[in-house]
Amino acid sequence: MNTNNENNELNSIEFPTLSKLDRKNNFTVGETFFEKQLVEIQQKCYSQTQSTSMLRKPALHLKWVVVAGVLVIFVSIMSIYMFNGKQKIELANNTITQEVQLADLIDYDDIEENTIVNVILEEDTITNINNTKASIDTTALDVSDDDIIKYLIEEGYDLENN
Amino acid sequence: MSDYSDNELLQIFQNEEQKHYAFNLIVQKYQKQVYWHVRRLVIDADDADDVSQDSFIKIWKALPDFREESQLYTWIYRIATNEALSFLRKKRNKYFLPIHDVEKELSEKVKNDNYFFKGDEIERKLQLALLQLPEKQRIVFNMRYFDALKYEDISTILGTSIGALKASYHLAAKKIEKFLIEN
Repeated sequence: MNTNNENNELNSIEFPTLSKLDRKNNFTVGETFFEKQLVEIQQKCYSQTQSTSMLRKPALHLKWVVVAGVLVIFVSIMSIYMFNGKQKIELANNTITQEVQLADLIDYDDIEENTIVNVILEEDTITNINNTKASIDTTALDVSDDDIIKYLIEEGYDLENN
Repeated sequence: MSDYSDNELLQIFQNEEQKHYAFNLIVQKYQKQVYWHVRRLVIDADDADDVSQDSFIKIWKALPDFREESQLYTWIYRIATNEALSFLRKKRNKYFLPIHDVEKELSEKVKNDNYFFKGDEIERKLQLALLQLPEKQRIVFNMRYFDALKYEDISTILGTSIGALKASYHLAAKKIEKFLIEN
C-alpha cells in the first residue's frame, strides 16, 4: 500500500476544497458486522466445498448414464435401419428371383395368340359358371319343394317318368 | 488481524489440513478493505455485504489455482472490483435503466442515509460528486484517494497503464473540486 503524500497530487492551489478534506471512511456498519460476515463467508465457502464434493460422484454417474443412454438409442436406431435395409434387399432379391423363375418357366415364343385368348375365355367361362352356380344355390335356398313341384306341374313336366 | 505475510498465508494454504485455517486468516486480513472498497462502489450496505461475500467465495474457489505471479492483495482487489462492477451492471440491466439512473438511485441513498453514513455535509457532497463520475474514474479515485494504493498496484488490478490512471485521477479530482465549489 502507498504511504506517499497524495496531497502533492491534489495541491491546495488547484484543489482548494478537496485538499482540505480528511480521507476518512464515512460509511459505517453495525458493531458486530464483520464478525458475523466472517462466519457467513466461512459457512458459504465450506458448505459449497462439501456440496460440490457430494455432487461430484452422482454427477459422474449421471454422465455415464447419459452416455450409455445415447449409445443404446444410437445402436437401436442403427439396428432398425440396418434390419429394414436388409429386409428391403431380401424382398427385392426375392421378387427378382421369382420373376426370373417365371420367365424361365414361360417360353413366350411358343405361346400362340389363340392359346392366350382361349385361356382368358376359359377363365371367364369358369368365372361365369361359378357365378351362376352361386346364384342358383342362393335361389334354391329361397324356394320350397312344394313350389318347385307346383312349378314343374304347371310347366307340364312329367315327374313320374323323370 | 493476521500477522502472517501473504506468502506465508499461501504456504499454509498449500497444506490440505490447514486450508480452512489459512483461508480464515486471509479473510480476516482483507475483509474490511474489501468491504469498504465494495461499499464505496455499490453504496448500499446490504449490497456491499452480498458483493463482498461473493468476492470471498470466488477467492476461496480460485485460491488453489492462484499463481504467485501477482500479489495476493492486488488479486483479491481485482476480484472484488470485478464483482462490484458486475453487480452494478446487473442492476442496470435488471431495470432496463440508463446508466445515470442507478447512480441517481445511489445518490439518493447517500443523501438520505443518516444511519450508515456518518460524514458531515462536505463529505456527503464528496460522495455525491463521486457518483457523477464515469465508473472507471470513480474506481481509480477511490483506490488512490481512500485506499491509498500505489499506481503500480492499481495498474495491476485494473489492467490499465499508469499514465492513463494518473490522467483519470487528475481528471476525477478536477470534476470533484468543481462539483464541491458549485454545490
